[in-house]
Parts: sequence; C-alpha cells; structure tokens
Amino acid sequence: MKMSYPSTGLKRKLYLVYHQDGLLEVVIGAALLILAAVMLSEQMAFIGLIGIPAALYLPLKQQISVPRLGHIRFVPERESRMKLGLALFLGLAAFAGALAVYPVMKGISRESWAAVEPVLPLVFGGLLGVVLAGVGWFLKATRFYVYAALGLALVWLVFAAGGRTGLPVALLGVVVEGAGLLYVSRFVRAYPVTDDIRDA
Amino acid sequence: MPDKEAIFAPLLAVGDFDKTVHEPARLMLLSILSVLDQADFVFLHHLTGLTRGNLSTHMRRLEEAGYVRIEKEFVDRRPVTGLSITPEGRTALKDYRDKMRQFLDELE
Repeated sequence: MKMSYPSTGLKRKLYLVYHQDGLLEVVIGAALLILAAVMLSEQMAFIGLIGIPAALYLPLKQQISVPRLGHIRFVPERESRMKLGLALFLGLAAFAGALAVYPVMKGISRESWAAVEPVLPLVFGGLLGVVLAGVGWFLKATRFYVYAALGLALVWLVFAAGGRTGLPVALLGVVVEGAGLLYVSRFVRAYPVTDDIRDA
Repeated sequence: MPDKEAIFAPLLAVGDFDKTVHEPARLMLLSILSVLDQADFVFLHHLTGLTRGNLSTHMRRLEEAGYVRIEKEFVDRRPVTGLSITPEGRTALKDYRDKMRQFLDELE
C-alpha cells in the first residue's frame, strides 16, 4: 500500500546523500575517457571497453561506500533489476542503432554528406547531453545536468573550432573524472571506517 | 451552554496521538523508511546522528509495534541489519500526519 505523502523532497535528499561518494562520476568519467580514446584512435572495435568502468561500479560501492555510509535500497530489488535491464537494453539498442547507421553514412554521396555534416555535432552533442541528463534524472543527482550542459557546450565549441570529435569527450571525461576523485577523497575523509559504526 | 468537548475536539485529539510515532527519533526513522525500500543500521546511524544504543532501542520499539521489519543477514561475512517500513507503519505515519495537521490548523 502506497501512502500519498509529500515525500519527494526527502527521497531526493536521500538520493543526494547516497550518491555523495563520487563513485558515479569516477565510473562515468572513466567511460568517457575510454570513449574519447576510441574515437580519437578511430579503433571502434574497442568501444565495448566502456562497459568495464560500469561493471566496476557495484564492487567499488561495496568496498568504499557501504562500510562507511551504509546501504539503502530505494526500490525493491526486483524492480531495480528490471530498471537496470531496461537501461542496458536501451544502451545496447542505441549502440546497435549507431553501428547500423555508420555504414549508411559512409555510403552516402558527397553532396548528401555535405548536407548532413553540419548537423552532426548538434546531434552528437545532444545525444551526450541527453545521456548525462538521463543519468541525473534517473539518480536524482542534479549535478549531472551541469555535466550535460558542459558536454553539449564543449562538443559545439570544439566542432566550431574545427577540432576532432573525441576531443570534447576527452575534456568532459577529465572534468567528470576529476570531480569524481575530488568527491571520493572528500567522502573518505568525512566518513572514516571506525569501530563505532559497525552494525547493530 | 456550548459543548466544550465538541469545540475543543481537534485540540484534545493530541491526547490520542500514537506515542510510538510521536517520539522525535522514531518519527524521523519512520519518515526516512517511508520513502525507501530498505535502509541498513549504519546508514540510519549516520543520517539521524543517533547513538548505536539509542537507535537499537527505537528500532526495537518500532518493531514491537509492528511498524518496521528488521532483517539480519551476512554480506561479505559482515552482519547487516536491514530495516523496512510495514504497511501498518505507513498507515500509522499517515494517521499521525493527518492528526498533527488538523491540530496545527486549529492553532492558526
């Protein structure tokens, strides 16, 4: 039985407390850096490597955050698994879609390419922004909206300056990873593991 | 002669408040648990600032009233105590909120 209770504010605050450890930024920053390396080196076969930081999130949370701050579950485990499954499916679908579009884009005529090329940074920046804003919305962590806006601005700026596609992603990766490491070090100092916080 | 009891009914209702919920530490715990599926002892200890002994006492009191469910398990050979609110706990918290709102409205 769900209670109609004005608790959205409290839930949001709990989300912020639970994600103050900065591990999300560390993982997403690492994924962005790997994506940037793949784009700059044009070795698209290694794109799957961005899954490695994502796979490390839960073990990191278990090792760094849980012994210090404890653990909470916002939704029942089954619902959580379903949401994660849906997110993975959407991610894979987007990736498969991108792979399917790539040969089509390569095969189009020079004139068509000239028409499409100017809007590509708009599309890529928009996608990056939507993904980061989506993370912020999903986790109710508003600072990800800032990363989304920064990502969008960087992509457009670098494209306008004639830079390579991977460069804004690398810059954003450095910012997000740096912020994450800062948050982690602050969190570890603020919540040391001491005897008096062991379980009841 | 006006019926004093009828006039002051909303004020007198304070005496009917559920004392298990009314206590500040327990009200805090129930409010936190009402927006979560589960929270462990360490998290609640940090968030509420209650001492371990105090937190354990209030947890037990809420469990005895049937308002929270306490589950103990081992994660990585570490004992973990998980708390979750029961349907009865949600109802008690909602009733308390409604009564408190009525009471405060009466003061305005």
